[in-house]
Amino acid sequence: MYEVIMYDGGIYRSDELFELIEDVGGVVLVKSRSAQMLTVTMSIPAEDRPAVEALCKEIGGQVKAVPLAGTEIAVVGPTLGRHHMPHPICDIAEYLRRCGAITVVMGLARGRGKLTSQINLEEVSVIDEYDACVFMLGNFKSCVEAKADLIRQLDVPTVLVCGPKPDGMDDACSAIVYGIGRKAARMREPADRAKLEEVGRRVEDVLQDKKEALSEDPLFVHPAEIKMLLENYEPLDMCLRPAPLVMHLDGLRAKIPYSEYHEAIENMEVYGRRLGDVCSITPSKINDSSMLIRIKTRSQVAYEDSLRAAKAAPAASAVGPVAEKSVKKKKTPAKKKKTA
Amino acid sequence: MATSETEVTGTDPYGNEMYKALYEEIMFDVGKLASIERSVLVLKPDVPMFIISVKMKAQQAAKTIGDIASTRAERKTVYISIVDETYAPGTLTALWKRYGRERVKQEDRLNIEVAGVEESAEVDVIPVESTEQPIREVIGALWRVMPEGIRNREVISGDNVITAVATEEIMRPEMLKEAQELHDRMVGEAEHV
Repeated sequence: MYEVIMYDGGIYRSDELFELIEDVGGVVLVKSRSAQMLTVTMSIPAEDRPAVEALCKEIGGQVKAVPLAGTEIAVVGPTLGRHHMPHPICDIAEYLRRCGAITVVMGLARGRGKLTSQINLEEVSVIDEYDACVFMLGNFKSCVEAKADLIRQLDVPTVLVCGPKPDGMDDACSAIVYGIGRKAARMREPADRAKLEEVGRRVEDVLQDKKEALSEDPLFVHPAEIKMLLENYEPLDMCLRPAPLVMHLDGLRAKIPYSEYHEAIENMEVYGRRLGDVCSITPSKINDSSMLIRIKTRSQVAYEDSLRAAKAAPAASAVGPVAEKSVKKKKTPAKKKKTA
Repeated sequence: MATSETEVTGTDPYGNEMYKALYEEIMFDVGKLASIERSVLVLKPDVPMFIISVKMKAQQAAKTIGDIASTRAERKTVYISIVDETYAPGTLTALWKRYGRERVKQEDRLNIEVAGVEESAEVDVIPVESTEQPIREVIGALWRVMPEGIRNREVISGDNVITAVATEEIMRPEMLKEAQELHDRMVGEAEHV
């Protein structure tokens, strides 16, 4: 399994670090240089972490854990009104960013009120695009419990953050952090910071479950490899939006219009396969200005290959033995590429 | 932070404690906590119904230019230097209204000159906000305290006491009655004192 860590140190002998990352089969996710200082966020195999850490220490840098790197998390409040923003929703989002995640703060259109709150299908499908969701509710126990239906409809792992400890909500979400209700001030006190750390840990736990589920049936290609492939694609390279490529646990979000660019991206090659064959590329539910690239698992790709082969076989036999031979000849290089 | 007494009653012990802190924090933020003598919060999230009654320390007086700025007169011109920036737009509007735009010259955001005025005392007494403004600010703060979904609201005010009652759907007569009783109790306490 891959782990994401961050090197924070000088530029001196950093070429050795990049060589080692390449040697162990890792990927550089983010590299930022400021004068003589360098920060590198990398994804490396877990078993090679001690070797990478040792080299980082040898060249005078520090290794920091960024447990949520490579994930995009939605922090959702009942509304975007001043009753719910900016505290503590923005404090939670900021803390998760410090843990390496890309966070998005959202408010529901009609999430306010105990009797009238609701979530619509569009909101559910937008939230489901993210790796995980932190759902923030308020200070009254009866109100929190009444809003369980808002969370039940979400498919992504959800961490509920609320004031009192609610009853009967264990099945509605993946984890609950209580003790953070509605506030009118920043979470600066030691007790508040401890609560933020608890939120970070819970998000890490629910994502760890998702990572383990993915490692049982691994993705055909690691999202970081597709990121490297797409980084040099001109529309993304020229894109002025912050973080034009955002990594998810099972894919990426590319912030360029789906309608204009999806064909070009589908026709790119990765390990000798069309990207469109090993990923499902769909427009984002937010709007048409970005697209989601979900990588298929190895078993899913193998199954789809077998379906294609089964479809092709009767057609080939119907044409005749000469045509069948030519079909077989054409298929051979593709098989070799897959093995490679 | 708190210089006033805040009493909370309700059905949710955790919510009561948190809303007391929230109420005091918001009142402190809007600069009204010091002018509040006593507050009573009735929180019934199960209904849902929320009543907040606030007794002010004294009649809120309207601010004048003399309260928020220093003034001096020199050669038939009054020079105004605003100290409390929050009243800067109101001061300019009040001066325009009294003397007209051609006689009022704004040097920068906080410094204003008024031509053709002999004494600074004349400018000092010009009000920059209405007497209702402080009450409006308290009511605005009460809406910030109450949960966002509690949209059906009524305000009872008078005799230095402001009482706000809010619910989510239908405002029933018994809710208004409870609010009125609390309001009367707060007014009675004020008169007794």
